[in-house]
Amino acid sequence: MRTTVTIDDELAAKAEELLIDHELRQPQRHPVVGESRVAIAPDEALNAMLSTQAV
Amino acid sequence: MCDTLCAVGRKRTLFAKNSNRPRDEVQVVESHPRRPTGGSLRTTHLELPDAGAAAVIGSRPAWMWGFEHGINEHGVAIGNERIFTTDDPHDAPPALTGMDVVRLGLERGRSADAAIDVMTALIEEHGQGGRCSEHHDDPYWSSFLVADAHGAWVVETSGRRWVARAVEDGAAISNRVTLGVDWTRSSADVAPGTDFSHLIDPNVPTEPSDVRLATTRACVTTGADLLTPRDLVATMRHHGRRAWGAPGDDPSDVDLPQPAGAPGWDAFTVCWHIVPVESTAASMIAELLPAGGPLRAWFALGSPCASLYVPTFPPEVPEELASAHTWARFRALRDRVEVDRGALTPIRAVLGPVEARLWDDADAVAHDPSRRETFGRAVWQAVDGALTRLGV
Repeated sequence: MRTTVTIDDELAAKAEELLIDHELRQPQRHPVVGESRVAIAPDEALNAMLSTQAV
Repeated sequence: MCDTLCAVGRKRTLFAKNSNRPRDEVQVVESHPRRPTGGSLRTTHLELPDAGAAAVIGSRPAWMWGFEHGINEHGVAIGNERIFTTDDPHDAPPALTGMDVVRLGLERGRSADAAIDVMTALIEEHGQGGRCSEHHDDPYWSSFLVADAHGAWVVETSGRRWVARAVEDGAAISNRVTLGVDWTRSSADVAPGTDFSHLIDPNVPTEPSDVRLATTRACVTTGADLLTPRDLVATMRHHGRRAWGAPGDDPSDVDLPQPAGAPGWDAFTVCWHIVPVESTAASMIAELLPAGGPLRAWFALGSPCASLYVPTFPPEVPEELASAHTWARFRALRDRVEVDRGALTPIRAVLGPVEARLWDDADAVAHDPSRRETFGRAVWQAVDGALTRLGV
């Protein structure tokens, strides 16, 4: 029996394909290592990193 | 913070490093002739017996002895990275800095293999320690990428401990431990099978390095046989979206730095603008050919996006690159961009064509020693003219 695919399904499949393609092109833009986002400004984040080991 | 990469091919190795440093720290590119053995040597914090030196070109923060990156007459290129481990470098007394180790490896290494022998022996004997910033008590451990025409090594350290892995096709390192159990050489105090990544400091996020490693590793994955030094320039100008600005590309095709308030880790890009803490202070691209081929390196002062990579044929380098005043001129362009990122477009409109012409001219004379000498004398005139046009 032939399976009928609605246009919406086709679009959804295409969108998923594009999404996968996008992620493959940029596989590590936001790598899953600990918290992937920060809520503080970059200079504050960097200063925090640099001062982590400060005595 | 820095990024270093290399791609090892059948006929050559390509190498690149961005040196990210405190924004006021002057960096100069110097050529040093061979030095005979004898006497003593004053490094940044230590005095050592002087084993002599090969001719080297290095990019040196003006207050210290060591190099951020450099190349020697034997075609060895080395760069280092600050890395964070569970060993606190504040506990170590003043000793060698990673930058000292880079310079000593270049001075004493006739090959990448020989250089890592020298570097790791010095680390074991003298240790690492002492401030690595002119105005702050800021010691750190380093990792290293050591390359020649035939191969390369990644070396990662924590105090006197070290592990190393030979590079196959290419590698990129940043401000994190990258080796796990895949190392093949180590100091005696690292047990076989040790996972070096267990030393990663859990208090220091790796994401700012991971996002940049994604960029530099994508470049390396292309492979040395397809990459050119121009491609490496485009990667070192990466602002988190795409490689751009290869010498000879359309100078109006500019990818601006990330805007203030960029979300998440997006601000942590290979061309580094973390205002007001750190920016890229200098950069180097090198092409390492087997014996007999011309040794080539391209040096940029300031941020790669707001600078130009000056072609050189080591050990010759324009003496103006060793001037703090020259660094200040490029720094002024960087500051202009960091105040108003849109200022990058007119800057590239001036620098892009000059850079493209210099690269083409350098390619044309690369295999003719007499013409190389003429080119070396003329190159600074073009750079100076471009900077003057930009009002710096």
